[in-house]
Amino acid sequence: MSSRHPLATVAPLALLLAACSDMSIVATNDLASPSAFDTAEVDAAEALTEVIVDVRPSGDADVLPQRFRLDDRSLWSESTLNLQSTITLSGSIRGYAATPVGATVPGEADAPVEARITAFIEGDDHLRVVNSEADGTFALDLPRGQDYHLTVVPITPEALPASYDAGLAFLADSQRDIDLGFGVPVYGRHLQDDGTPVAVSRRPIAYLVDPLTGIAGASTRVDAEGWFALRAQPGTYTLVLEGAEGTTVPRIELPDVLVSESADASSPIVVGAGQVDFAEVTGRVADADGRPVSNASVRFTSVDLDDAAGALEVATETDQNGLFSRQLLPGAWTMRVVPTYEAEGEASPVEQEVVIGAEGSDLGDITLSARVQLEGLVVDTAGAPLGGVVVAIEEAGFDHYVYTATTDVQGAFTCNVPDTALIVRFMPSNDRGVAITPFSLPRPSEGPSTYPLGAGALIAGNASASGSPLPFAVIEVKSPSGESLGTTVTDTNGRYALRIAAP
Amino acid sequence: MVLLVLSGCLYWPRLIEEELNQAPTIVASDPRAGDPVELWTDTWVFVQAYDENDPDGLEFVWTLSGLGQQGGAMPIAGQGRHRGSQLFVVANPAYDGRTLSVTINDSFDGQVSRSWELIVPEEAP
Repeated sequence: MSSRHPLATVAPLALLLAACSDMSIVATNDLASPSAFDTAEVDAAEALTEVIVDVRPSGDADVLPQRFRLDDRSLWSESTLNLQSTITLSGSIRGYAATPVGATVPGEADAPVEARITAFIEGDDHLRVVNSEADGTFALDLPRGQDYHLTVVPITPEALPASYDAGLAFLADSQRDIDLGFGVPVYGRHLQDDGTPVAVSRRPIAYLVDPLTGIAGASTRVDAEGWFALRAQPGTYTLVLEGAEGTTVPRIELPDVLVSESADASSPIVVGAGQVDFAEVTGRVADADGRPVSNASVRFTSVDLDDAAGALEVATETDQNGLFSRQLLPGAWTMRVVPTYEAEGEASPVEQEVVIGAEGSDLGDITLSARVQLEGLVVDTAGAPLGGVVVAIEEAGFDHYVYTATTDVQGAFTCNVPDTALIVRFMPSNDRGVAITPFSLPRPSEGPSTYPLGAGALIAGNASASGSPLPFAVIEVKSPSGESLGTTVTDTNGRYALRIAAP
Repeated sequence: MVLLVLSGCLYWPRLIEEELNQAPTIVASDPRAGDPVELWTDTWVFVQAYDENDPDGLEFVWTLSGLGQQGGAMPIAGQGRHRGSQLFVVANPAYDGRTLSVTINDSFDGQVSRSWELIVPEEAP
């Protein structure tokens, strides 16, 4: 569960705006991968009329990361990013323990709740998170602001509903006591086609996800008969059943599960699992010279399962002989093999489609192609070489490993890179008069020999907090869809300036 | 008399100017030195360095104890003689208690480093 991004389904909320006195914050799908670039030269800033600016202060500053929106191009070259001060939201979480210790009537006891409290502003992926103490009290620091979401997910006791609030303003230190209450029962059964539950050792977990925030409530593990029971406040949720940590059962999502006070308690939700019968898959990972590759990550993502419902991702690692073995469900899968990161390594990651039969499969040798040299010349639009330009070469998929080089006085660079799709970002220091410019290469061999960097568009201004300059803060400029266009830092006076690729 | 001595009796070796390398220094980071990285959620960690004579030669190497070098670090476009690097750290429970380190090397064996303890708080079951 830890890998779920709490804002994974926030995208539909984009463009809900929040206005503060001296900053404006825009809701933006910030999850787009840079690998979405699909042109040879990535004109990510082309036709942009607005940009997002994320400010991440250094640890010595007493303000928290915040997001700004420059929605007028006239603001790009000179703007003031005044970070909001930090306020403290404190309070307590209480609920009704289903099985209270010492109580004579189950469900009667009002109890403090240890819970995870998450606050974020609409469209800003800077989450503020804290756990309440065992006595239910909590204190959460967050930037002063409006349009906050506040979610509370119980940890102990866990059989309680989660709480989701929106449209909250926290403009000064505040107190908020939250009663999770009883909620409404939501229960059902996870069954295979033959009417049996999955093996006890593979019992999945069930939980409800708030579709607005993407934040999941507390989970419960289905019992040996396949039954599960959750509690939720009335509303519409996505019900998820998936393998618990260490188990492999396909993830099934049931959207639009209506939870209401008047729900018919005699109607359990039946979740059809198909038929979950695993088969053994083996293989060996080798480099281009046939040598075994140890500690490589071997990941399988289901494409179309033969008999089981839902989707599944599983992973394993190769041993010292390059061998791996894993139980998978019969069907079509995408397999990705990713060697460990080495700046001067020899193997490239690989992706291929595999079909697993009911009897299992030996995939034989999986060969990782050799790394290659990426070379080029970096020039300005007049053809003059640009030395001292940092070159950040990112894998466009897999683990987004980054390889770096710096151009020499002739503007030339060379770098040992994987033989896979790449995003090459040229990052001149901001006093060079040329833009941070990304190029997308389907393969290293398809890159141009010369990379021209234009002047682009200037993004500049001052960052401050409580009227004082904010030195050494990271400034990241993004497109409204979340693509990173460039990153720089403020100087000792809080001044920042960078150029992004733009017509 | 003095001129006579200088011109005839003493040998003055040619002076050779040697440039002493100045190692990089860390000017800022998040978290700051001594603070842990609390992974309540996936988090950016960054460091900024200053190098008087070799800013373009700086190399940032991020490592996670027990897991080796981390491959996702992204450079930050510099200002003047400042350069930076940032790493996106996933809130993976397996990282709890590990140490994240960044070592900054220049081209002349100058080096500086900073480390943080990673803390992954308990999340809802």
